[in-house]
Amino acid sequence: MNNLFRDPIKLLYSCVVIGTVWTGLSESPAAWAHGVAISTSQVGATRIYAEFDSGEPMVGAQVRVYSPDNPQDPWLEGVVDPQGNFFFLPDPGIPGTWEVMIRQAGHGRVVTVAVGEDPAMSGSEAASLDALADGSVGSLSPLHRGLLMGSTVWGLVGTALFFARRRS
Amino acid sequence: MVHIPDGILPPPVWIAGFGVTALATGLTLRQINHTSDPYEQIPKASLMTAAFFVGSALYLPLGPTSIHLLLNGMMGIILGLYSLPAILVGLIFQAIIVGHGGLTTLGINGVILGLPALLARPVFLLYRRFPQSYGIRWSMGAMAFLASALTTALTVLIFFLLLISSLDQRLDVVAEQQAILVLSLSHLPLLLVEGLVAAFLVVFLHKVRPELLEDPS
Repeated sequence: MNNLFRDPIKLLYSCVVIGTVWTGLSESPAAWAHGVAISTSQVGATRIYAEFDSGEPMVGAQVRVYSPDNPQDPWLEGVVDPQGNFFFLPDPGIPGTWEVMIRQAGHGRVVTVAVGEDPAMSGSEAASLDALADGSVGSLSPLHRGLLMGSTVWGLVGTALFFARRRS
Repeated sequence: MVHIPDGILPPPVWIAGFGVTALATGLTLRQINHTSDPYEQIPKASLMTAAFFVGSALYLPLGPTSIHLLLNGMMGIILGLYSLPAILVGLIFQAIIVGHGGLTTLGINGVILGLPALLARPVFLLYRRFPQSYGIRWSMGAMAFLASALTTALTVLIFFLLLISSLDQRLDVVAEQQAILVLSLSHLPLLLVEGLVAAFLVVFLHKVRPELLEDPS
């Protein structure tokens, strides 16, 4: 242990490995900072849930809903409530892919809601999509995240070792 | 939180970000290539990149919200010119794995996090000009604190100016401006944290392995 503190390279390596394991395998979403995760579900009305990936709801984030027949002008404007929710009822007479834009302080994304195209989804009382937006890292399990982070760190440490050996 | 994700900025802005970052990286690599052994600092740069990558996934609770470490000041102090390419590599992994930033905004995030880091080393080296009456470690620690805090402040300032100047007119502009201002101001305590992290690291390295603080470029 004493040697560890005398050698900053070993100490840095140890800290990075411990940090990777801790952040990657933590079950708490609060250990992840500040991407965003937007999910949608339809139970009668469509519910949009918006949170930062630290787990904090995006309170007061601006929401713009665009219908398929007019993607330029918002069909509905609003803000996310203190629980991170935004509810709206799409017009069933305008079938297609509705776009919902959520923004707050340079963060956010656009999610889509299908209306009327799939009879199983349209008007269904229990058709929960719970679909995270494409590309969201929130869809990764803690194990996957841990493995990805560990692999990355291993690659970087391997690069360091390769060039260190090359020099010696 | 100062990483800008995909889809927020208009294409001309993020394309310009790629241009600025590519130019700065090219000049930096050229400068590195002129050193006696350009590969000498790569092991250190790789390890620091790993620390930068993991450190950004750690958050600090701050009242009702939370912020995450940036560590670009620390990278700049330790790596000098190598910090820009190292931060760019870290940003790629952060975007893909941690979800901070994005691939289209890699260039603009390089401007936000990478360019201020290039100033950290010259500011840190000012410790040599100070009288060493309190000991060199105090001077180094103080200047590392100042360099890292200044880097963080510049990072947040660039982030703020970029977002304020590229507001999406489909939004309530006043509300968005206020949200950006609040987010930027919420990073002020991070100046203190980043400064302390850099100061402790520099003092520690000076004690156990001072050669790691030698001029890397």
